Amino acid sequence: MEFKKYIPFNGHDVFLAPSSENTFILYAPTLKRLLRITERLASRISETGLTEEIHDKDVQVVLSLLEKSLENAIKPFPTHERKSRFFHLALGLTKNCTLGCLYCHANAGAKEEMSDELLNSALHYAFETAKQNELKGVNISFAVGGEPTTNWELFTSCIQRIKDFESRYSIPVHISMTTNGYYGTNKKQFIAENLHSVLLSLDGPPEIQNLHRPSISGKESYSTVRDSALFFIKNVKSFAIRSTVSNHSVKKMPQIVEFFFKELGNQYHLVFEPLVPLGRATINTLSVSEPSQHDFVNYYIQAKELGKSLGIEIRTSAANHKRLVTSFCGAMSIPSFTVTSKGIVTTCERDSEGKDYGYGKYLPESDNFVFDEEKINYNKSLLSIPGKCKECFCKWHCAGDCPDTRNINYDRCFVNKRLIQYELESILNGTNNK
Amino acid sequence: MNKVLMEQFPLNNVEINEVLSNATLDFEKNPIGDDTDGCPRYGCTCIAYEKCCGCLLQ
Repeated sequence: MEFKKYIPFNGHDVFLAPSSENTFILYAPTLKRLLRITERLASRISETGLTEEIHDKDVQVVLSLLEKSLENAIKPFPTHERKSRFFHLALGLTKNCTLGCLYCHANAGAKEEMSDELLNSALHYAFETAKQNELKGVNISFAVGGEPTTNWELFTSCIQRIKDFESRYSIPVHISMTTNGYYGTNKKQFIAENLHSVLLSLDGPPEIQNLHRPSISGKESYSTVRDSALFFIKNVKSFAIRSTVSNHSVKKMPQIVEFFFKELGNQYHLVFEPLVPLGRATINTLSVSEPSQHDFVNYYIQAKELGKSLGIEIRTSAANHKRLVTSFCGAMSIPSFTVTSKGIVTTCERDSEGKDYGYGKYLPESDNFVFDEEKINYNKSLLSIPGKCKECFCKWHCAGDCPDTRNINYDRCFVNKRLIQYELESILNGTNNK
Repeated sequence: MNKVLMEQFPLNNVEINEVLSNATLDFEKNPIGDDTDGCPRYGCTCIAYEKCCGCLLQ
């Protein structure tokens, strides 16, 4: 028999998903209700819907639980209408890098850097906007383009300017960075003293890290990056490690957790993300490619279970069962002010050239930024949840996934659905209390 | 989902035997409920509601 996956109830979504041993999960996210029911009951609910006229005792039990939940139901807020109370500035200081990662999304390595004028203007725009709109703070990140520390003079000068603006405007700043960690003690020290959040790319033990992420001259990077990890764990309050998972490393995810535990302890978050076919990953396909999604799910679950026993919190981005969202991220709608080294303003930090979501640009002659309203609205429209997600139990957790995945024609629904279902099953089995 | 309340139905209620288990969920405070501040932090999967989560920044 074919079951309905989706049954509306008083304006809320109720989903039915097949589970193990002839049972179904009945999931009403905005009603904060999760049930395990028999296949027979799922069949009757699927056939009759959830209405008061049904005189079936078990359906009535489900109805009464859902009705009880209406009191505390979550009323969704349309994310695209949300106005941020922070200014989000992302700076692409350079397109250069000290590593030659086989899968680099930005194909980094070009000697192209942000000019002083552009950097000053971007900071001035951010703080002026924050002041005029009485925002609570300015969040500054370095994630677009190459490794931000490559031109050390530019990086340290940028941090100093940020501090100057912060004190001149008396507006709090939060500085974060995604970094390759391939540098020595003085740089680590400066970063720990001046940045609030650091995300370090470290893919695994030497054989994985050195294959995925060799230096620009082909040397091993593991030992230096491991030392950076050890330093940041001790000295940066908000610190996480990101491991990109390829076809080569996917089956070793539990071993990566075990290895990191022995080398680094457990005082950090570990983020596993499957490699996606973009940037240099579309060129180096013989050396490294995306993992099978089936393998990613299986080994991620094993890694996560191991992480729990070792005290390491393990995450992946799209499958977050702890949150409900109406869009995957706010970067497209707010929009995020991401400035590339050439002065293009885009929403997305992956868009290092500003070709896909660019909505403004810096005009050196007038030392100002101009914006294209049509492009801003177009970017917002990309947040619409795809039609195929309408009846999917996962949609309140992934909101159709990152709009950029659709742009590059990459679909990780299998991963998202399996991992969310795994978390929901764990809750019902009483094995997950986080 | 900070708090999960498991509410198993009483076993002696023989007429309610098709609802096998039941959990009340408590999600992280987030912007879908109201116009809150979102997350001021950036970081891959921290999850920052207002910024790119960085999943494709490989």
